[in-house]
Amino acid sequence: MSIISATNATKVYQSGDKELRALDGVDVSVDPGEFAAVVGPSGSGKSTLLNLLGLLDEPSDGSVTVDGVALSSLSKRERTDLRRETVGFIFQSFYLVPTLTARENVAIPGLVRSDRERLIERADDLLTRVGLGDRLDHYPNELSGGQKQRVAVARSMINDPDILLADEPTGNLDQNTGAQVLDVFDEFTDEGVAILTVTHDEQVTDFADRTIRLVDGMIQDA
Amino acid sequence: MLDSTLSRRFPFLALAKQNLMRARARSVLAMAGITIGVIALASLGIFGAAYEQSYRNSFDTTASSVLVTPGEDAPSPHFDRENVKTIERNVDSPVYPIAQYGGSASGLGGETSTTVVSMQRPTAFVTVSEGQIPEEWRSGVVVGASVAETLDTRPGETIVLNGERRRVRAVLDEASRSNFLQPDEKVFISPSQSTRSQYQFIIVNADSPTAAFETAEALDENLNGRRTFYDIVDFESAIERFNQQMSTLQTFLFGIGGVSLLVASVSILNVMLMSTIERKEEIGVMRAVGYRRLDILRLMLSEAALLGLFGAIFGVVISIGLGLVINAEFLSDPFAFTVDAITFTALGFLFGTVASFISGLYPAWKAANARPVESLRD
Repeated sequence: MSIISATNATKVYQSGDKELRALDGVDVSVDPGEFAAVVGPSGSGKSTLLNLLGLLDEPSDGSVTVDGVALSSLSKRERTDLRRETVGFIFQSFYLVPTLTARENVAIPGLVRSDRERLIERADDLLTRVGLGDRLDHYPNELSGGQKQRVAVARSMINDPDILLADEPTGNLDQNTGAQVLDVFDEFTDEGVAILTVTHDEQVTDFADRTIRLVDGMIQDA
Repeated sequence: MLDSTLSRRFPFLALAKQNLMRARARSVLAMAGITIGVIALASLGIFGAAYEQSYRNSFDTTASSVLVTPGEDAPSPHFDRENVKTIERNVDSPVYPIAQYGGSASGLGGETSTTVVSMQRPTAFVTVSEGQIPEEWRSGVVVGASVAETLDTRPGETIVLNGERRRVRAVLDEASRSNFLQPDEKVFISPSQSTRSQYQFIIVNADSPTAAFETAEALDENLNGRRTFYDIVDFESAIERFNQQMSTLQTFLFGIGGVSLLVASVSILNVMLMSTIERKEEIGVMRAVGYRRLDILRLMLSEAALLGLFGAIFGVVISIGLGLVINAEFLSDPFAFTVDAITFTALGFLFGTVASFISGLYPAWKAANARPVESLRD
């Protein structure tokens, strides 16, 4: 059974009297342990799709389903809670908090959970797993780009999500450090975590189990 | 920072503190604004209260007294022993019959015309600077401050009063202008030295101004019928006027303090709003990783509240320091904080924290309501 699926997802933005169809009837579903890449020219609706699957936005038409539950049936608050439990996010420019150490950055999403007891230990575990066990107390400005992105990956995993959504995770990294991030991804998919990434990077698409090609808001069969 | 015990209990406060430390200078300045506002409110309040108290101290002796003089229907322009007894029967408080007559006094330093006051226990209304007035006072005189200066005399020396040599028992302090005996220009003798048994007026000395007002009313009711045998004067209207002036002063000072606090809270509003805009992406990330809108609201409000709380604490500490100086100056006791002064300090603290909390509301609401998607879109 898929973790997250979008059925006939359509997103229309109104600007003035013009209508912009960012997504036009897209069907996507992601299975556990799967690494899927979304590619396409800019403006093809990649980010919109990511926002829909990340429960950050609602489709104008069609539906998004998480574990069999339709998103439209949930309140904003329930959606936030579901997002926290199900989805982890990774961004192109990392978005680490500059005044917090690597460990604290990883722990931040967990602060709002009631079971905070083992938060710091979990953060340490995750950082060790992404190969930063010796950088726990380093601040973001003491880390390289690749290391920052690995901290961000560890952060995205702190709440035990079922799926990681990544927006150009290697966009700010060189070939070598990008590969390190992909290795980390590989380790998590082996545990059954699904990863869906928007990318322009061929290194990533080569690595992916499946590539979804979007053009003008529609999936183009390869 | 997040792994101390305290932070585990209150992770939001720890995070809020961390966020404030990021723009340290800005946070300190915003806090200083609140501190100044609280100081303005609290120390102006303390100043007003001490000022009022210093006046009230000297005023209360006067206002606690009831002055009785022969009324227009009295058979004689003077009171005699009988009148004194009548009044004593009607009140619980001490009664002071007072006789005054003109005279002249001379000493080593010179000579002056003066008023001789014959009364028992004048210490109820005046304070002694040098020497002492015995409880059972029979011989000797007590000299007012100006008279003592003119005659250049001290306790133990002798002056000539209306031709008779008298030993000086005590010299008085300069009295405040509100003292109705006006003792500075006078010489006091004990009633036993006076040949007269007539009194110009009688003073009833109650415990408090309120008791005095009640005593005056009771006396008027019991002693006077349709005809006024006794003219009874209390200081109710005077003290009312005084209270009114003081409350005007307090309101004025409070207004100045309030305005500075208002200015301070606008600066908190500004700081929090800038911080919200600056951290748009970060807040978006937090929303994306599962922070509810309420969580963001709580975080931003914690930041504003922390600024206010610490600003107010510093303000209160400094105000109390200033209060010590003010009290020492006005009440000659640094620790003589009045209830009013403490109330103003507490109010300053309360207003300081509440004002910054309120200023934090709008930026916090704005941050919490930014949609996560829009926060991340650049």
